[in-house]
Amino acid sequence: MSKKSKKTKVVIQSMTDLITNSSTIIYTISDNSPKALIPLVDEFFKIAGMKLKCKDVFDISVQKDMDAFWDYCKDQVDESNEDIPKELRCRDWNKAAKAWYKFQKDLESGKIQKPKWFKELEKEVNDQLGDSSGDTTLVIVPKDPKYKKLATLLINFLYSTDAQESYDG
Amino acid sequence: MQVKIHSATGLITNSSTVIFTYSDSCVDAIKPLVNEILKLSGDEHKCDDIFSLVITLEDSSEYFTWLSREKTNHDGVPQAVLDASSVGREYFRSLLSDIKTGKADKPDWFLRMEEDLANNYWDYDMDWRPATVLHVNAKNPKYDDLARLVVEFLYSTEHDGGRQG
Repeated sequence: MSKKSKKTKVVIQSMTDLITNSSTIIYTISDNSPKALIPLVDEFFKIAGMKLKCKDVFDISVQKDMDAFWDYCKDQVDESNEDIPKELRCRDWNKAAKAWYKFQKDLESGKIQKPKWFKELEKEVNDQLGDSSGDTTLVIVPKDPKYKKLATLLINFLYSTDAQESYDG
Repeated sequence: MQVKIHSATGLITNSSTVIFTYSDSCVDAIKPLVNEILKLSGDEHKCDDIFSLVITLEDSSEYFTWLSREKTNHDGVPQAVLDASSVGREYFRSLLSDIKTGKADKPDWFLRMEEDLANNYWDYDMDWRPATVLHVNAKNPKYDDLARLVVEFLYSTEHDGGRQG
């Protein structure tokens, strides 16, 4: 059997109009969530007749996805920078990914506070990647273990929606 | 210039992204949250005692699409609604408003309509399952602000689409 090829002519308006075989990724951006969480928790304490405010029971922050730091570190950070823990700047990607995941969990659970080197790294990554660097996640760290379950349930609720992407046009 | 295309579905030209948000799972997430809030404040009520929770389609025009196109699954739908008369459309809008605010339960035909739209949206020329939204209604005005703030918190995130590969 002879090989035949079929040619299709596609009119492309510009190079940026052509995307081939890409997979879709949806980013969730939580930067506005602290502004919504604080009055909610304050209202809860008001209803409960408690003289507490959100800031009395929770440390709240928004955390950029650790993948952004991992990507940045594996390509751009000076391997000899001893301020950053060795396991986070190693060139073995699997080891580094696990180390970044553990670092993220420790930050989110309040086990560790943001180290100085990480705050500097955040600034570097933000300056370089801007808003296009993926997910941001709300982090709620209870100041009293009594509110640990509430913090978990607030996070579960915030991220209980599902999102799917389609194309229009 | 020649570009190799792996498959027809691998080619997307000049599309804009639309993101659909589904809130169906939020009911299961809000109940333990509100129960914990009430427990911490020493209140013996449960979420169902203070809030009515309703999920509806985000875009009500999708209900009208079903009502105008569905021809075989009509049991129980008021004739005026099917006729798309102004009275019928007003009746439906009023019913939907009452459902969203917890003043009315969804009739059986309404539940069937939502199930059909979720499972067979392509029959109604929709490219994607219609987005859904959570409504939280306080049964006691004391909890009105809490209901509003819970919803504002839930929808405080934004979604952005990107492509990988």
